[in-house]
Amino acid sequence: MTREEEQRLIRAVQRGSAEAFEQLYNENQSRVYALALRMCGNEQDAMDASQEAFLKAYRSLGSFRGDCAFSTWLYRLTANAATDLLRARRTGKLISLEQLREREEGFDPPADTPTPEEEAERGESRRELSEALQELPEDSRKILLLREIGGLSYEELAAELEIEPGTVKSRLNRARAKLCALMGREGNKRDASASKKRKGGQP
Amino acid sequence: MSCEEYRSMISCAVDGELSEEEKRALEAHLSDCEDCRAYREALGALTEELQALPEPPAELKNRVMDSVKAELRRKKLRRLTRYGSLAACLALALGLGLFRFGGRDAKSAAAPMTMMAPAAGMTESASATAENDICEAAEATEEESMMLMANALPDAEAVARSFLYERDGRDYGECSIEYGESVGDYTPVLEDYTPVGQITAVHFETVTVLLDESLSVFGLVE
Repeated sequence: MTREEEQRLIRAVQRGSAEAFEQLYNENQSRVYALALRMCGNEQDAMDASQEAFLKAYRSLGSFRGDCAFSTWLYRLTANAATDLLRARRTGKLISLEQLREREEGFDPPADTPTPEEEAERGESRRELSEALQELPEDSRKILLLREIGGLSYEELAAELEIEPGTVKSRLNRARAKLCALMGREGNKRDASASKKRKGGQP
Repeated sequence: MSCEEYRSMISCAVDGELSEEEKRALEAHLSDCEDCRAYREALGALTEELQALPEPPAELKNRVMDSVKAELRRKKLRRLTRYGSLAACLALALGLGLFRFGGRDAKSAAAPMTMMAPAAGMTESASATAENDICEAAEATEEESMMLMANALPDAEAVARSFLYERDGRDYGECSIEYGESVGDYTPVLEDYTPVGQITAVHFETVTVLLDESLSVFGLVE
């Protein structure tokens, strides 16, 4: 979608068109959901964070300055919604479905929850990546995913995270190196300690 | 340069942030260093996996669009409440059965409504006076009506018009649409969004709604 088309849709949304917002949704849903899923590590939280990001975008479209693409702005909102949600989980303000299942006997999971068979089909490597991402520090995960999935430039990342562009470069490098190490993919002698850590070995 | 520094360059290369000179230096190192070549492959594979997009659940779209439409409805209905006192006054006049206009004669209908223009913020006494004016105007019009139109613009900023309508002296309600906005996609609703009928005709400034029962319409939703 070109910036002109995007601007046209944004103006239509501001005039009250739900259809225009649906087009913006369709255009961005895959990346928003992927970003939220990689940030949160589970589908239920990813849904919640994605929904929050889209609604926040809808409510604040009036204040969208247009100095970046709508999608870039939306990905930032998504990463922040995911961060907020993870923080709420940590401080115990939110209870995950897993925790609910443990607490309540006969808890009825939503119909779209994947069955164990479906889970098994998703592939070892994807789960490995997802688990390794959850082990990354949140800041590293955020900058890496905003870059890889959101496609934010170094300048945009610097502005979003309020750091120098040079720091963006080093943080991305560190995040990638750590992720490779966590997945045992460095392919040299430094892998050994990282692999142990990934498998839960004590240092 | 150390392998550590070249690895930082590999990360930049993945992002397409290397200058031509840096690219050449990196390639020269990679041709000599198996470990760094493996690392570059690892980062390439990682990027590919990270950028693979899972299909978002259909439920997400429903949740988002339902919320957006609900907010939109609230926004549209808020606009209606600006004309609340006028609408209540006119509805009361209608309810008393004292108020009939020749619907096809827009001028005769619009004239008393002009007096109602400041009605949106009127006090109770002013409201009563205005209601009397309407009733007098109504009594002066003997013709049985098919349709009733009110045209009120309380302030210069307002872009919406209030419409009041009835059919065969039985069905009536009020709604508001913006200038230039198509009403074809709208549904008349009660306060709790229950649909109460359908728009059967749209004329120049008049919306005709055929109601299911003799209920008054609270507003229109898209």
